[in-house]
Amino acid sequence: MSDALTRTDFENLMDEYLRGELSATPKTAFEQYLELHPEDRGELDEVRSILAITAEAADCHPPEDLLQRARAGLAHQLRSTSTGKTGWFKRPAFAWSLAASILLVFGLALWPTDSSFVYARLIESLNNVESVKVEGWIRGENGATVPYCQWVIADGTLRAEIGEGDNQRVVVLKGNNRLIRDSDGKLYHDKPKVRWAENLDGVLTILQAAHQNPQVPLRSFEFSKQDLGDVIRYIRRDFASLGRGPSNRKWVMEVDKQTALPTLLQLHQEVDGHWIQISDLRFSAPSAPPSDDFFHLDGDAASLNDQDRQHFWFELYIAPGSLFLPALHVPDGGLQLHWPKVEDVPAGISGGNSSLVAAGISSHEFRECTLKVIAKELTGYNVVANDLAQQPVSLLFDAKTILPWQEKLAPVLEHLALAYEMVPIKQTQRKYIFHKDEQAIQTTLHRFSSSSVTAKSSGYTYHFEKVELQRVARTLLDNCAHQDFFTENDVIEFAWDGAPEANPFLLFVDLDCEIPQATFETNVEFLKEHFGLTMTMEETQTETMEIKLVRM
Amino acid sequence: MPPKAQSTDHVMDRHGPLVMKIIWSLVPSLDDAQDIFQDTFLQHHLAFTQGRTIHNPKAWLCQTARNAAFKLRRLRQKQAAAVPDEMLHQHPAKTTHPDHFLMLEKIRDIASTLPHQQAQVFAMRNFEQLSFAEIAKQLDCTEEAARASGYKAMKKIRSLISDRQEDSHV
Repeated sequence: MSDALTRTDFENLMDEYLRGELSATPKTAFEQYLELHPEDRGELDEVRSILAITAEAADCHPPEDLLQRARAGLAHQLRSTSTGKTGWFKRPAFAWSLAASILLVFGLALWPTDSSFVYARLIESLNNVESVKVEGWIRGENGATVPYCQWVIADGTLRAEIGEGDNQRVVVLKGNNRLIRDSDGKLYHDKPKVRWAENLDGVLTILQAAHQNPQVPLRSFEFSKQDLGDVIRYIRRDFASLGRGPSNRKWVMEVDKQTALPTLLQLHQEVDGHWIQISDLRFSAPSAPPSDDFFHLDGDAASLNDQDRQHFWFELYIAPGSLFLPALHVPDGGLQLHWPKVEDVPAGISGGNSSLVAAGISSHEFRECTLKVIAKELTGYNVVANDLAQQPVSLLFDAKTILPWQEKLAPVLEHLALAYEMVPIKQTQRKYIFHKDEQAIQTTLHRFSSSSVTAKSSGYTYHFEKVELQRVARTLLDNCAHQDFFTENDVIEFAWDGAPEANPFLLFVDLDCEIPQATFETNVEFLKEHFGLTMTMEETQTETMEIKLVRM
Repeated sequence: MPPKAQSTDHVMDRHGPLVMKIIWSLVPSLDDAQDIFQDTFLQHHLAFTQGRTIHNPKAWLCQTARNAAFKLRRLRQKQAAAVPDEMLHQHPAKTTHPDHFLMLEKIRDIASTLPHQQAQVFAMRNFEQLSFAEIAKQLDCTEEAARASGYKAMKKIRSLISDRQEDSHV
């Protein structure tokens, strides 16, 4: 250390100086700094006062019998777990002030005489599951029921059998490779871009139907239950993404009281005002997962061309989470549009747009959205912001995901007597690149994932449990009060050139905080403080194509 | 790996008293301290039986306990619970001045809202009186980083304590 202290040295040594821990040389340098900077004495005095107060906390000791009581309570809980492996532990009754509504709905009160205790045991049982199998039927493209069977093991490897006998197709998903055996025996391979529910834990998160943190209130669905004697039936109805009204999907899950494991999973969907059953799957958790050979398909596999992709429009979207949502209603002809009138909007639905892509079907709900937003969502292309593109429109759109974007856009524009042109455009693209410094990150303390973002007048409240760091970062940046620095052309990158398994942006983290009205800059600073992320920005000029809406 | 309850017993034997002291320095309430203690060791048991390797159980337990204590304090702040008289009676520390306990509670509350590393460093330095060398070892960072985090934490606490004191004069 040089003889003359800098301001940073002063800041870093202040604590040790006040505690008398500095050796002679740095102590002298510190006091010389104070002589030269008397204006900093006020800060020193304030810190001295705080240290005096906190020292009292360091001096206090817990009551003598507290440790004994806490250990006794813990020992009781460890003994009372129902299986040899650990699972969900009964929380102390007082813990974390369980929200009353959650207690009522889920019965997470842990008194065994209550039938809701079955649900708590369900959570515990699911924690011990090492593989899952569902078997039953799903509703196919022409409305007929199709036999369906799916296995998922811990790392997300899956096998699905669709149909039976000579009409059966088989899908195996292992790591980043998908194999499809068609009913004629031919084998195809593919690399999936997106997987829903990465592995068994992701599936179990969905099956649990409620995450374990009672601090986060229910926002996505409502529950009801019926005691049917040997089983408890739970019915879950999702809320629509755009408001608090109900969505068009509901699940029925039956749980065996004896084993406390699900036995039945059904999906029902409301189509044109009528509820139809989409799937009926019996659930089992084999104690011995199938062998590796079971998740292997022999033969030379061909790559998929565009025609093949159309043929396998359903199989390409089978994922570990499919056993929860194995199928959706397939519109006639593969595409359906509905133009709701203003008076048809259900109560509780607000403006905006939401999308669900699952089981090979893309469902979009647009409420008073501009055509610019709708076209971008359906095609992936930016749209020239002319008067036609700014028209607000409400639209319910369901189609096979695999359909080419031109086939998705055409009927929408035709209804509005519009057409489109592709125009080349030069644009500035900003690339926001995040790097990770050496700051250690506390990795998640949770097994299952959950996340919520709540906007209030005072700011945003974030709650993440076991969420990838890169997703946390994106979410914070997407929820800035001001979006001036992030246009639709900009991209975010997370720079890492080390070993993939050591990529810090893929670490699962927890975050529980409230950020007051934040700009892009303050949220970037927040990410730096909490997670050691630093950001650089590059600008490039790019040429791309945009959609321009024109009158027919 | 099958669970070994005695493993959690073992770490509880070795580190239980320290963990409880840490918890008590942040949340001096009988019920809450018990809950946090049990939650901390349950987390250890869960991690152990899931096959996770905990390289430094002492540091892991202490960090987990602090995180849990901070989390509870943040929850209480949201609930806007006034410091109950019960807490004052339970707290055996002999504060030199009655206002110091309330100030200490405010400092604990503010510390619970700090970024993770700052909160950990502040608690370890001020409530546990650890050296920066020990802090750096437990948090797996450099001493300089620990000092910098400690200063940032103190700076935030100073500014917010001042704001709260001004509010109370209104």
